[in-house]
Order: sequence, then C-alpha cells, then structure tokens
Amino acid sequence: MTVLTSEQATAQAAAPPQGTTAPKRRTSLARRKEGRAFYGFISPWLIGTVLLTLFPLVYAFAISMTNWDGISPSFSWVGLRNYGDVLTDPDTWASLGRTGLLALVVVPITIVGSLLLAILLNQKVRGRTWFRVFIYLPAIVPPVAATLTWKLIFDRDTGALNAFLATLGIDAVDWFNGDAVFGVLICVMLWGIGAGVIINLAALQDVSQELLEAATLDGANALQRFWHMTLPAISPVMLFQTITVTIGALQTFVPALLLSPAAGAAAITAVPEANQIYMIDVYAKYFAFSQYGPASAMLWLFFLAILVVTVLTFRIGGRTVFYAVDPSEEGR
Amino acid sequence: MRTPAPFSRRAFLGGMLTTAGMSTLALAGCSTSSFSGKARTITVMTVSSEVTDELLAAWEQSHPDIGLSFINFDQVRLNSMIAAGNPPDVVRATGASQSAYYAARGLSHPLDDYMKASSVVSYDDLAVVNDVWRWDGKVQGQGPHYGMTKDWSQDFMYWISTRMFEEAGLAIPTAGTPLTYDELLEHGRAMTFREGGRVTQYGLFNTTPSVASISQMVATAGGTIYNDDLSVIDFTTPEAQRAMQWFVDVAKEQVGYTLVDVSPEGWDWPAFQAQRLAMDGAGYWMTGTITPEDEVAQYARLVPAPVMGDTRVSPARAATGFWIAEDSTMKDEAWQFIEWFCGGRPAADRAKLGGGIPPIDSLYDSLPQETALQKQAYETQMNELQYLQAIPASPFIDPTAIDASLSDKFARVVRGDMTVGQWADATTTSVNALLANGASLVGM
Repeated sequence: MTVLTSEQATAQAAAPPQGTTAPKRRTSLARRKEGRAFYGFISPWLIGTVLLTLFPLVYAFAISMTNWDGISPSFSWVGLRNYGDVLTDPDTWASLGRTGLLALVVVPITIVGSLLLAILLNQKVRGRTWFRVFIYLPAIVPPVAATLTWKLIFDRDTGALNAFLATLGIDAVDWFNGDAVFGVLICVMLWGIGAGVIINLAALQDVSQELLEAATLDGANALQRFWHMTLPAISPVMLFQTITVTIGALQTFVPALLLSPAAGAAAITAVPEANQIYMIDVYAKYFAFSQYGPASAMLWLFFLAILVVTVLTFRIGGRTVFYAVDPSEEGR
Repeated sequence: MRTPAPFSRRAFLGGMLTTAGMSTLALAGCSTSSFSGKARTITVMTVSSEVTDELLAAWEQSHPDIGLSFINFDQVRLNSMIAAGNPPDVVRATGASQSAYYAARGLSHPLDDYMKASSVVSYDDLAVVNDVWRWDGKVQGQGPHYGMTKDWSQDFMYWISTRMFEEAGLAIPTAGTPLTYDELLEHGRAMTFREGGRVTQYGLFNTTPSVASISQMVATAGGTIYNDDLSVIDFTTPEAQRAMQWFVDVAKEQVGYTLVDVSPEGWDWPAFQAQRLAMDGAGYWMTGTITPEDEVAQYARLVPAPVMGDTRVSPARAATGFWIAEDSTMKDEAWQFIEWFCGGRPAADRAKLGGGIPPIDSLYDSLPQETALQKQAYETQMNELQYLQAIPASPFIDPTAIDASLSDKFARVVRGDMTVGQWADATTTSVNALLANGASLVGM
C-alpha cells in the first residue's frame, strides 16, 4: 500500500507552473535554505558520532592489536593475538552465555509485558492517567537510585524482603550470593518497563478507530480485532522495541556493577559470578586487570555480534511487520 | 534538470571532520577542571574527603600565589590523563604498593633535590616509611624518593571490642602477644551470632584475599611469594596455599564479612562502631575517628598484627601519599603542595588527631595520648614499630590486577567447585602472564 507523504503533498501543492523563471529562483532559494537547516540540525549528531563513536571504534581497534596496559608509555603490536586469546578463554564464553540468557529472559518479558500493560492503560477506566503515571514513574527514576533501592530491599541482614519473609517464618535468603543475584538483576532491568509501555500506548492510540469499528460491525471479536488489526498496525513499533531492548539487554552493565556487594574500585572484582555478564568481563579486563588489548578485542567482537543480531532481527522481523507506508517508496 | 545541491556533501563532511578535530583539541585543552583564578594553578588528584574548606583557607594563607585545582581520585581518569600527556601535577597513591609501578614507567618525578632543599621538611627527619617511595630501577626501598607519605599505619594491626571478647570468655591480646591467624578464626567463630539466617554479630574483621595480605602471612612464616627481581609470583608454595586456605575457611564459616558476603556499608568500621562486629581491620589511623563520646570508645583496643608463622611482620600496606608527574610543568609548585600537606601544618594537625602516624619522625610526639584509648593505641603502636617491614610490590603490575585475579575465582573455591590448589595454580598462571607483559612494557 502506498500513501502520499506530507512532504510529497506539500511539494506538489507548491509546484509552480512550468516555464516561469521567478518561481524557479524561489525554489532554488527555498531548497538552499532547507539544505542549510538540514545540515545544521544533523551536524551536532554527526559530529558527536564521529567524536564519540567512530573515533573510539577505530581507536579501540588499534588498541585491540597491542599489549598496552593503559598507563605505560610504550606498547607492542601483537596483531590478532588478543582476538585469539579472548575467543579461546572459557570465561569469555561463560560471560557471553550469561548475557544471552539475560537477553532471552528480559527481552520477551519487556516486549510482551509492556504491550499488555499498555493495553490495560488504553482502556477507558476512571483514574487511568494516574495509573499511567505510576507505571511510567519508575522509568524516570535514575538507574543508580533504582538499583541501590533494590539493593536495600534485597539485603540479607537489613533488607525489607527478608524482613517480610521472616514474618512468614522463612529464613533470610542471601540474595546477593549464588544464582539468586541473577534474579535480582532481572528485577532491576524489568523495573524500567514503563518506557516501553508509553511507546506501546502511543502506538495503540494511533491505531485507526474507524478500522476497528468497521471490524466490529463485520462481527470481529476483541481478540480477532487485536490479532488482525491492532497488532499489525503497531508491528513497526514492536520491531523497534525488539531491536532496542535486545541491544540494551546485551549491553547491560551499570545495574550488574551496582548490584556488586562492594563499592568503589572493589566493586568490579566483587560482582558475583552469576552476574558476570559480558560487559562486566570487558570492564574488569580494562580497569581491574589492565588488559586494554584483550578488552578492546572483546568489545570489537561484541560490536560485530550485536550488528549481526540487529541485522537478523531486521530481516526476520521485517517479514512480519506491516507498514502503512510502503518502505520502498518512503523517503525517495 | 537537477538543481545543484546548496552544499556539496563532500564539503560538508570535510567541514564536519574539521570541526570534530578542532573540538577534540579544544576538549583536550580544557580537560583539567576548574580555574582557581591564580596565575599559577596546580592540579591535584586526591580523594574529595581530604579537601576541606579549612584546608583550602590554610593553603590560600600560606601560598597566596599558587592556586589549587582538585580532581577526585579516579584511576581510570588518571590513566586517561597520562595517556593524553596531560597528567595532574600531584597524584595521590599508596606508596607501599604503587610507587615502584609508577616510577618504573617513568611517570613520577624524583623528589630528593626538593626534599634536601626544603625549609618545611628536613631530609633527616623523614620517617623510615617514606622508603617505600624509593626506587633505584630494580629495588624498592633504595634510590631516589618518587613520592612522600602523608600519614600511615601498620595496617595489619586491628581493633577489638574487649566487651565481646570478655563475653565470649576469650583472653584479650596484648601488644607483646599477637594472635595467630588460626586463633583469629576460632575467636571469630566464638563471637559470631546468627538468628533466622541473618547474622546479628560477626566475630572477625573484613577479610579479602589480596596480594598484600598473603604476602604478610607468608612473610610471618619466613617466606615470600615473589622471586628476587619481582618478575615472577608463586601462590603454589605451602605457605601461600595455607594463607589462601585461611581466607576460604573464613568465608565458608561466615564468621566475618568476606568477598562472598560483603559488608553493606562497604567496610567494617560502621559495624564495629555500632557494636555488631567484634574486630575491625583498621590500623592506628582509626584513633582519630573514635571520639570519647562514642560508646565503642569504652571497649575498643588496638592490638598487634596477627601471625601465621613464628616471625612478627607488621607492614604498612598503604603508606598513602603523593607523587609528582614527570610531565608536570609546575613541579616546583607541586612540591610546595606536597611538603606543606605531608610535612607542614596539615600534617601536624592530622598527627594531633591521631589520623595516622606522621611521615616525619619529630611529629611522633604530637600523637594524642590524653584518653585511655589514645594511650593504649599509642603504646601498642609504638611497640609495633619494631616489627615494621616492607612487603614486596612488583613494579611490573598494578596490585589491583593481582587482587582481581585472586578474587576472580574465590567464590568458586568457597562453593567447593575448585580446590585451593587449583585456585593457587590458576592465579599464579594468570598473574605471571600479566607480570611478563608488564616486564616487556617496562623494558626489563
């Protein structure tokens, strides 16, 4: 299906009759102005990308082929040795496995959970604005504050959760040791589900009411309307969420570090094994072991892996996504 | 016909790269924080808690022509600033474990000429602990000073609660009779209490397997974990494994905070002060923290460093102080800050409070001896000085990396997934790889 975009419509409406020169000059001036505005607006982003993404990428790639320790004035080139070392290190694969598991748990719960919550918040019930505020509120709490709050709740000796368990006659659980801490990490990550809810809610409210009413008149029930009308209509948003949440889950770092029982410089070495995910491994290699070469190699390998995951998600997700505007026409 | 583009994309991208490059230069130029308004301003990287208004006012009064710009200590930031060729002029560090590491890389500047010419610090009056900053290219403790200690303690000494010892029916350790590590574990066991899976009182101070701790334990048994030139480490010796086993036993028995049961407060002093902990792993410097009004002052007592073998060895684990960056363009001004902070009025003030042993011999008499606690701590500390001995610190590796290697597999050993022998083997292998890399970077 192809629709006329607003840009095309505007261009057509403003098109002068052929054979006139003054309007041509006007068009040229307008185009120049538009070009200036375009480049002016994207310049900060492009400069930022060059400074903060492309340059660090190239720099990290150069470091990945050295034995530099981050502070010595000298270093040696070691070629691809660091890549071989990290790929044959069982700890790398173990941390990658934990990261994959984290993404497998967090991504579906976040996508489905945020959609279900958005559907609930889209109902016409009394006080729904307050419900929306309460659901979204955790998403705007700074992650550090949120994680530290969870730490207090889960603390073995002084935490609220163990105090509650004690009232039920259950012994205190050591949440920050063993595999239990992985569950705490998942709790912390799901805490920000409100951001996804807002995006889904916006998408739901953009679904054509006329189409839904027409489907109702044709005898479609609520489930059929959701499955055949609503879901296709919001599928581009779902794809966007899947990609961003997946990348976010794979790159998880701050919550895992903050859940370390120790603070300050000791935090990284005290991260419980169950929470030693990939980025924690990378950070430890950089700043605890001073292995800048292997750490940079790990980052590059991870960058490539995320690139592959993103492309695959686009390819697979693209087949099931319904675009109201034909993507091949849009932006021409 | 296609209308010509208002800007060529190539020109635009070129301009953007130029802007990015100029921004980088601009950022590099302004990377060292605040401007103090003085013509000469030195940058000092230290912990923010040490920078008080009183301190700044005192500096302003004594050095009106030199500004101070403070940066909170952050190892990552320090590394970045050094890599960018723009290090702070003065940097805080633990002399005992880090001075050789910086000096061997040519990052720190020798201070002996300044020390000998100083009107604030007398070279002959420097306490022996300042030797940890000496480095002759091969041996720590010899050659020029690459920094100066601000204050120090014999950090393996610890505090006990006499009340908890008495309640448990345990004899109070004296200055002349240190406890063994095995006794510490037994005492910790006797003074740890649980209730419904929670610990209501821990018996032993916070323990973390570290290269410094294991070195001290092995040294009391007459051994060492390094070879002669500090380029190879060995945790597989019987003494080292015995020390490592002790840390595992403490963690398994949960008689104190450990790496697998970390104190929620980050360190053990708050628990000791609140009398939920029978022993606190801090040295003499804690004297300045305990006020007579604190209830714990009635029970706190400083006791000598424990031993694993027959030899008493009581090192300074940190000997924290400052060094001047070799790339600093204001070394004279940087030295003025160090001599003032480490040997001038701030040093005298810290000594009077008992906030550590001063780095100047003549200031020892200033240490507080008014209250019973202060007297006891002073006498025990003075007696302990005879056992002061440096533990080796390799110039080829940041000790943090060794501690990280030790910590890395500790939980697995405690869980029983690894033996202490396997832990010792794995740590020895990984640390020796880092040491070899460090030796190649230093060019030795």
